[in-house]
Amino acid sequence: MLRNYLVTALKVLQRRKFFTFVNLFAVALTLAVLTVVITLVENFVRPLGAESRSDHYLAVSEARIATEDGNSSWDSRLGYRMLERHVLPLEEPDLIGFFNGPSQGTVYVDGSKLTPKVARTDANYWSILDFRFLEGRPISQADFDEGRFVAIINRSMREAIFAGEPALGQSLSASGQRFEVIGVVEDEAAIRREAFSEIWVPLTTTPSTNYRVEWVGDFTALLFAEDASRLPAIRAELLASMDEFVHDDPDRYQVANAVANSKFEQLARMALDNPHGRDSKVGAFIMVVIAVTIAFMLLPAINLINLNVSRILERASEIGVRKAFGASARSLVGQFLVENLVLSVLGGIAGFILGIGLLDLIERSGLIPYGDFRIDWRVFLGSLVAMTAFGLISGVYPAWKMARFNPVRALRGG
Amino acid sequence: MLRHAVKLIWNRKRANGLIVTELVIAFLIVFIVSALGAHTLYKWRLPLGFEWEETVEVMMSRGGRWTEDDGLTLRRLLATVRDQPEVEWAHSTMPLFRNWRWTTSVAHEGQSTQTMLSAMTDGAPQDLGVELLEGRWFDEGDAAEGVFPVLIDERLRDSLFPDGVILGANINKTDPEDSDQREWRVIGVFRAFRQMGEFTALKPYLIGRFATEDLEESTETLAVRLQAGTPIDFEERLQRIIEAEAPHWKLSITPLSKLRERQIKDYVLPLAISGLVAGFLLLMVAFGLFGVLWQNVTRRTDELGLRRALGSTRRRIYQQIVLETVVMAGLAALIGVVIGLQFPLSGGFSALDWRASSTGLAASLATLMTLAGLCSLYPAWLAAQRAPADALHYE
Amino acid sequence: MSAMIELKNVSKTYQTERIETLALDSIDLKVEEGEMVSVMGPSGCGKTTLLNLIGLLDDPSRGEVRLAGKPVADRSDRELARLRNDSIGFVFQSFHLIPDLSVVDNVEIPLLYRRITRKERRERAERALERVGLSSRIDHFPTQLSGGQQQRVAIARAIVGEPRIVLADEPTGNLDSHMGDEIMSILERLNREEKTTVIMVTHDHEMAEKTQRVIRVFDGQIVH
Repeated sequence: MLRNYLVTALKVLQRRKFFTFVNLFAVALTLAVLTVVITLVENFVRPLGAESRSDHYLAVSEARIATEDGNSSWDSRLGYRMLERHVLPLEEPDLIGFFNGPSQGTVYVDGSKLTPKVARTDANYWSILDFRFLEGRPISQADFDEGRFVAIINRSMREAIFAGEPALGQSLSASGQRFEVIGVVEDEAAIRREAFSEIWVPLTTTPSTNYRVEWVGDFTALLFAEDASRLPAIRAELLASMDEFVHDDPDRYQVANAVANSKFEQLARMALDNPHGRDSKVGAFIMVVIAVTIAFMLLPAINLINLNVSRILERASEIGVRKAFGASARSLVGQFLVENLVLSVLGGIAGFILGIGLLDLIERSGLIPYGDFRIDWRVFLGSLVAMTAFGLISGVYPAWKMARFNPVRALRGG
Repeated sequence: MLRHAVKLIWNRKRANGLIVTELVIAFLIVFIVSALGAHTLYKWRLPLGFEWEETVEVMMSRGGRWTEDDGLTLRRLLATVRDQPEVEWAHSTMPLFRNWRWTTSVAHEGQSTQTMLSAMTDGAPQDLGVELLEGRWFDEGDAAEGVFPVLIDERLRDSLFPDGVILGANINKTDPEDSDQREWRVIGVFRAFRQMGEFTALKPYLIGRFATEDLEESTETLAVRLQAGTPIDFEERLQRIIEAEAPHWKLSITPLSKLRERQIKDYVLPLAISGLVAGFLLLMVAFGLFGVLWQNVTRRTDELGLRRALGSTRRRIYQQIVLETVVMAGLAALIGVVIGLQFPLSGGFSALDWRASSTGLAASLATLMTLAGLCSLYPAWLAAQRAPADALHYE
Repeated sequence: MSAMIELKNVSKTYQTERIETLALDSIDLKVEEGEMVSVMGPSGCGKTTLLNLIGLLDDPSRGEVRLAGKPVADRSDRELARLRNDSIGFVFQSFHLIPDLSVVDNVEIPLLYRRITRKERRERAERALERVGLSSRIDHFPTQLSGGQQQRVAIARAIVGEPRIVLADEPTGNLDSHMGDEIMSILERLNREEKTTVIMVTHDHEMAEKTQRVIRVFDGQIVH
């Protein structure tokens, strides 16, 4: 019986080529967009590569200093002063690492000028993040303490500066300073906000120590715990520390904000434009996401429902005939649902492929540098669920309508 | 012909109701998207209020409270910097193109307004290219105890002085807790100052006089305009010059152009994302519309064949269908306009003011009519082509 | 033996927005198994409605319809479907062939709802088409056939399931006399050889003469 349905479905779709195509296109487009979004979010929230331990650390990046009445405020990332006074002394985290930037540096190679991103880090940064080393070693505490001019570059930099030859021990001139390459790591995608850079050097090699007095600046701190269940305690400790904030010119500013976020919280804060609130509003974010997704899928679903209803009405006489010759409501609905499912599945597959194509395009365009998106079973599952949802939503109502047809009315044209 | 079309449309309310609904949704989506787009465009094209080219920001951090010594240092500093041949001018200002803001509430004879503000040294507003409309700039004559000379922008003027600005009048701070006991005296009116960049809304702004003769006045930022063609390495020299005058002060020098770029980047991403989402929604609506209009026509091939048999020409059929669609689009547009007008009327959505909304409505109207026309054109053409006999035997 | 088809005090009213039409008024009717009966009357008198009720395509507003002695009224949708499938073959006045399917696929439709193999289905459909003389057109589509050919496809579809009752609404209405005679002979053969009960609505007196009984309907009632 199923085979019959399938055969009839394909025959019908073949005869109504234009409509089928338009429909498929709409569904495919929607699912393509969904695939892209799901993949990007997945790669952001559960990164691989250097950030693979992201569920064990929180990042502190946004910071604000303000007057008590809130009339005057300054928002930026953490300044070193803030980091030193309020983040480094925290006791709950097992490890605290930090980095500055990444900012644009200048490297001259054979007369041409490169502008790689340069991050200045401490030593713990390398213990918290899990870079894949192609050569050499990470920046050590000794390197940091002594302000040694050592640098770590990524694979692409090795390609660009040293023509792909082993770079260990080689000399590199960046932004007017000379460094010795002590390590080469695998490229990290720009979507990985803590790990992304192209060259890493110790913070202590910064030409001027002026950054030390800034309350707001360009730093990000990483708070790591072996046991992920301690993260809430870390979060709370930071908030408590912020309450103790005293600016060195209390006439100018009296209060400060800084929060420690997991990846998901970062996403929620970005989406809801809530960088400094004590509550990261993750719950609200999830609701917004669900609402938006439904709304997003609603229009194409409505179009599909429309299409299906009109298909049924067009074929009213066929339905009447089938009923007259003994088709039960069940077999009619079954037939219709199969047709609908075929459409949804085809659309879904096309959408999935289109989505992958779009992702490839994004990777290639360099919009997200070194973008290399993992598409795993979760993404596939998500798309599958979406596809099925589509098929069901757009098929159920028309099918229900169809089952109740009185043959005579149907033959007359509904 | 029109009457006939309207009668037809009315009699098939149910099916046509769906079309009108889709059209209204299309209208509203285009409206919101184009209104927001227009709003952003208008914002972008509004006067920034000052010139930022060839200018660098000098951010100074001292550590500890501001003392009179710091005041003396500042004066010496400004003099030295201004002496440099590469420097056109240097002033104490407040952070530009940064997420820094200072707001307060001021009032005049019962009219009170929230405003952003900053303080600048004499000559700064005019050097920055601020456009003066009434009154005058700061000068040394303004150095008086207990008085804080201020320049207000057009918006602030219009809300505090609805009958026209009274130069020399005092405006009061409405916050009783405020420790600033000076009299804020209005000495001039300027056009605009969008301290945070081209993508921010044009809001009331106030520029106060930074009195260098008052050694207690603290500052964190200098703006320094360099002569055209000054090489980049001058920034390093400037740093050393300032450090020589103020060895305990930590500096960081950044060109305003870089800060401005960063601001723009922050705005562009969410804008781009919304644009994409809107584009997608529109595409979906177009699909839906096309589908619905197509069905509408193909379901009526009998009727159309009959009309041909009764003497209607192909062209008339064609016109009839397009007319019907246009009438429905017109109805949808009407509904859409009524709904759309609620936004600027209620004033609830600041981005959807009258100007942006009217642009949005115009764009929606045009898009809707075009869409409706196109989406009905092809099926109409098809329907008109069929021989009457065919259409009448259609099963 | 009870009658194949029995209608007891059956009435049918149609409701539109403002008007109520009484299509059939207190009809009593019995048709025995193996009978070949024609139904005649002016247009609008309720003949088609009568046929629809007998064919279980519609429910009476009042009264009872019985098939092979058993009432139809309380049957579930599933049972009704089974009845329509096993026992009844309908030939519609406007053919109602499915334009998206080929001729042979159209004819196979009643067999789809039975448990037989694909091969057997195809064989039986081809045989039915042979009986109506359309073997050469089995892969064509309805729109490629003439009126007479479409009529014959509709008949093939009605008989492919070997139903006990064949109901035909104006089976020769659209055809010339030669074709009409052929159709008539198919129906007669069916009635003679398979003992199929045949009820046909017709305008044609000549055709009606060839049947065993003529039921005259006027203004929703059976007249004699």
